Amino acid sequence: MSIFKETRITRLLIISAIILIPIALSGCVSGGSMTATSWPGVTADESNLYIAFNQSVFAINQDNGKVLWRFPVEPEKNQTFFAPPVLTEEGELIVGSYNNNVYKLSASDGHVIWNFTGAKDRIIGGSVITDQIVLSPSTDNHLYALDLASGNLIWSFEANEALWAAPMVDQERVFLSSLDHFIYALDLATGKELWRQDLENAMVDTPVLAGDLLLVGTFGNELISLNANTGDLEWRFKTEGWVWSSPAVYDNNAYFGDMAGNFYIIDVASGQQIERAQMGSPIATTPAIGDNEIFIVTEQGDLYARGLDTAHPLWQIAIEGRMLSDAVLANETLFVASLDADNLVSAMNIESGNLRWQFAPEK
Amino acid sequence: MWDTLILDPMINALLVIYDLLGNNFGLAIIVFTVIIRLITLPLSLQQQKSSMKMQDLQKTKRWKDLEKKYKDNKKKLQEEQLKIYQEIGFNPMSGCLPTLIQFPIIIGLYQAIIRTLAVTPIQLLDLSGHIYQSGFFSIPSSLLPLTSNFLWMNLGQPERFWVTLPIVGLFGIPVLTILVVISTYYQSKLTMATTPGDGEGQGAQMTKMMSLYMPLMLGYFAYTFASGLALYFVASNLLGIAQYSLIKSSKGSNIDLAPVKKSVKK
Repeated sequence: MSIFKETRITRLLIISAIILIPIALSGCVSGGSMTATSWPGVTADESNLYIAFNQSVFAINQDNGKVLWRFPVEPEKNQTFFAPPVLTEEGELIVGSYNNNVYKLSASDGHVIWNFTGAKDRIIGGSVITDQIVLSPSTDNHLYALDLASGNLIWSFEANEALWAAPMVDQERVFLSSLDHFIYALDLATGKELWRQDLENAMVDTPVLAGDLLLVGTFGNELISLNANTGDLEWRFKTEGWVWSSPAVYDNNAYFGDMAGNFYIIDVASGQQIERAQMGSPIATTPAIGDNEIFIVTEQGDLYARGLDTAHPLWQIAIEGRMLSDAVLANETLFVASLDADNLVSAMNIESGNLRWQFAPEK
Repeated sequence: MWDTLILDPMINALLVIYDLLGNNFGLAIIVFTVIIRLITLPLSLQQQKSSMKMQDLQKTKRWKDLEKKYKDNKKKLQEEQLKIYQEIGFNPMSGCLPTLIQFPIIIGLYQAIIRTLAVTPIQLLDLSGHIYQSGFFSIPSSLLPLTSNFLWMNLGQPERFWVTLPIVGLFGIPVLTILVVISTYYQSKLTMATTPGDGEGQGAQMTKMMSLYMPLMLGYFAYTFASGLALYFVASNLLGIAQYSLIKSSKGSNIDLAPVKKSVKK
């Protein structure tokens, strides 16, 4: 071994360090303008599909997958969108951004109607609209109640940690799950806290109201039921993995998955298990429920259609990419969004599973 | 393989330390950095001693005589240098191997800190696949999300110390970035002092370039990325500086070589 060889090796090591350290760091540090830090948020109305992903909000024709408009027209470096857009009765779109803003857009052409700039951190969770109030959760720990017409702040509520989930709302109350391990009930008109319950683990999806029961999944490997009026615990159902997503409730049954790849059907009233199936990949989405079918999406991209009453398998297909967005049903079509794939959205016939179209945004 | 052997043990160790230190992630990063430095200390020492030995060797009269003598015959020079290595029982590769072994550990440490902080949905979701959720080392999921506040910093966000200045108004001073740049530069200078080279060769030029490039690059990362990473840079640099200073102050290798023998003459 000569010193010249050693010098060469040393030089090679130095050059490797120069090249590999930035690559390794950029690979593990998200936050770059083009790196997706979350998954697409998808919403549908009667004719269009709205997708918030990375630097754009897309409006897409449900029939053919063609882009109708995108917001902003030209992508902006520090403006990304992942929160599922929400539609108003007047056909407008509310969508939160990672630039801390909440936008009200025209659903017909995507122009900005108003823009709320009062949040101090990213808007990760979707907003909810009720009775002329927009409720937008922020990672600055606040839930903001905005006037639907003007975007002006009506009230705000501060939790102990970031809010990543859209709240659940009934006529008078707001139910809010948080990363701070607490679930909160607030007065819709004033934002005043009615009760709070410590569930000992973080929650990242919306609690679901089933009669007087509130159902919420936690990182403590549980689906928990609470009395919506008092916040008292009713039952706790133990799962194998984290329960990332909200359950879908139909006919007194709750349907949900966990990050260990299990799909569960449980009785809402008692919390007793009715069925459990291993799907082979983590489930981070809420199942979509049709008239007679339930659609289960797994992270690795498998899409299962099952009979709602019998849980009998109907069809199954695999889609390229990670599937972390809730599937959306509209006009006999199932829309699913993918991450890390060429196609952002796939549209399938709900009866057969046949692919109708796929949408890949321009790069 | 990478996740199982490097990343997952680091993430879970970081979480255990975080739990033991009363949910203080800043302290957990510092303690974890110290532990990693201690684990890799034998390798670092071997690397440093090897570099210093090489430097001492290059200062000997016999080495310099050989360089003069065979300045136009590189092949012969290499042969003679190889003989010297064999004579004193020195393996020049002994300085490279520790660096190679440490490299994945350093990258794993970066990734573990960032993944554990999990400030985005993708990061938090992916973290679920890295945490030991059963068995003896089971990590309670109630630890999540980590409390990312440390001193004036949010460890999940780029660091700024906000002050109100007379004309400028509210101004964010990137304190950690400044510390990263200074400590990286100082550490590079110390490292250069123990790196082989005559000060003019390509290797030495490369090392000089690195001593400027690395502080700027790490400073940029500290300014742009989560301050947890910057905290690691500062802790790691300070420990590195302390280590280099200790080695430097210790006794040298005192290589004593016989003069150039006649038998090596052309």
